[in-house]
Amino acid sequence: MSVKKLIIKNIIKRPVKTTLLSSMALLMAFAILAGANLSKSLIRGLNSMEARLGADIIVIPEGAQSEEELKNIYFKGTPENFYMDKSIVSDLASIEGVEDYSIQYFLASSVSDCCSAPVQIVGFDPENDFVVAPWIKDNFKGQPGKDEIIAGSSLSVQTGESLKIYGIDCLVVGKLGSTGTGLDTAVYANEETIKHLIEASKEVGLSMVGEKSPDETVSAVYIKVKKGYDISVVSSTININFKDRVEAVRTKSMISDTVKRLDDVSKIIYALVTGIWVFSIIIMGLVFSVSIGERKSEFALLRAMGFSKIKIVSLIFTESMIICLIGSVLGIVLSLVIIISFGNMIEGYLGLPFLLPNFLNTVLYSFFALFITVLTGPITASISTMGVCREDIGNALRR
Amino acid sequence: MIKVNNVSKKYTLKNREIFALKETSFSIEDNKLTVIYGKSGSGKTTLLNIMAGLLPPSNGSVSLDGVDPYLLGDKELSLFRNKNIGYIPQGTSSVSSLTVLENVMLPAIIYEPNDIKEKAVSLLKDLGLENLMDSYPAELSGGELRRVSIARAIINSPKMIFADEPTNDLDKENTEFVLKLLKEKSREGMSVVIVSHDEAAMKYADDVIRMGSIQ
Repeated sequence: MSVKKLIIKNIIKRPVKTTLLSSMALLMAFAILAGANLSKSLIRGLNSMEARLGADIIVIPEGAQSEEELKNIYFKGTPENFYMDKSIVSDLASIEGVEDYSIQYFLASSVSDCCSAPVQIVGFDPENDFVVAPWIKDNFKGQPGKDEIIAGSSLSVQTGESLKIYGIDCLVVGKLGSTGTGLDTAVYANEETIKHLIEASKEVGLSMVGEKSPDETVSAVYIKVKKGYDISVVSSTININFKDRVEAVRTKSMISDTVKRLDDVSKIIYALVTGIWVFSIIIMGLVFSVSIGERKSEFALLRAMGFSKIKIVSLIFTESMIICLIGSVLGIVLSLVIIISFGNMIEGYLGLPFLLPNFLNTVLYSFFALFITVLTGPITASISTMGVCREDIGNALRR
Repeated sequence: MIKVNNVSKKYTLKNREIFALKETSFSIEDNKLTVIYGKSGSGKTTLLNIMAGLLPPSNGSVSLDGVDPYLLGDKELSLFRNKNIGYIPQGTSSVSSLTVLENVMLPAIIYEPNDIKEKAVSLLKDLGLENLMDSYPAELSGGELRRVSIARAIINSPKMIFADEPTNDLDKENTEFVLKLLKEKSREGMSVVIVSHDEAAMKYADDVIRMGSIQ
């Protein structure tokens, strides 16, 4: 027999109180960790998106749909095809303020090709590209050869397997890490391969480039602006000079809507977490207050036996800490399971880039949620207990 | 020796002073069973609680073997209570989450781990509770709970036992049993102070302190 046994039996022998309090702790820990993970995932998704855009200006074919189609590729992972005349590339290079440029080709596979849904194929020049190539280098050493592709993280295909695209077997030579953007559902190929695939799409009657040769078209030109030049001025110059041919979009303006939506979603998350936290504190406070009030004469009896005020407070503090610890651990496990299992669904629902925090950050957030929850309950309980301890033992025993 | 010097207790209620105990002085010798006898409302329980170090008096002082408990800090007073005082409360107070045996052992393990089980079992046997050791307080009758309170009060072999109406609501058989037991403890060297309005307690008393009603 020890005081520890008294604590454990107080927890076990009051199942209603224990269940209610640990449920509140579960809710609190769940909300704090889920909120932190959601918020961080959205911020990481946006940062990843900015890094993937990797240029100051993106030039795409002129037309109302092009910018939306580009956003679809990045934000939703919806495959798109759009092309413009390649002669624009040298014209753009001659614009004052343009430091460097990369070209990309976009091709959507057909549904029947390889996967349950069309896949975006992104063509780039591994030698000169500054947008996709550095990211790919982080995950794949070497360069993809002819009819070789590198797959995005969300595709189920593995390195060494093949994807048949427009009748051509493309060998998967590498797999990329997750970016939390629509690019995770794309595959990446060099110029030779993408041109081969565009030709193949023509042969099956699904060409989007019309009668033109793939050598005469590009989908987008990514521009880096020289230091000291105003990006918006360079962008306007392109739009004025090539008004009917192309449209220059500042990458920052492309994600400005996303930044605003992310800001709105973050505010809702913070408000929900704060609301749940306050609600849990109120319920915990009420439960502790009622439970400790009911045990007034028991505490008086313990004090008559020789428990000091500090021993009583410490008894209740430990009791409530164990209850909150059980609830918190369950809440953290539940939160991690839901966030990890339904991350893609949340991403789809919010329509925002979503990249889960790394392991270290997840562990830190879990400890933070545990710390806040495990302390909130005992502090609430101790405040109620201190009130009870102030009463004279003799008077409390007579009730 | 228990000394009570000019002790009184008053409460203030809506700017009005209410006396729970008028100024009282007396001494109780060691190893005796003393009954504080009086009608309801005479301040018996208030006096007992003051003597047991559970209720600070408004005026006066108490000396328990030369120690004024109200000059001690909470930590020291709690330790003093644990080592020197056995208190039997009015009613059926007990720790509901612990078994009868655990309730009895509790005072002995507050300050240090103590292998007290054998003594507790023996006490419960003496009190006729050996079959209820693993029962919980909610499963016991009033008389049984009172006997548990007595066992708990004497487990640490205190110098003083304070019992508040220990025979209240008990049948004749249980009343005799409890009073005999407390008398036995006084003979074993404990000073026993009983507050009672039960005439049956008088025949076991070495001394009687009669309290009048408070006007």
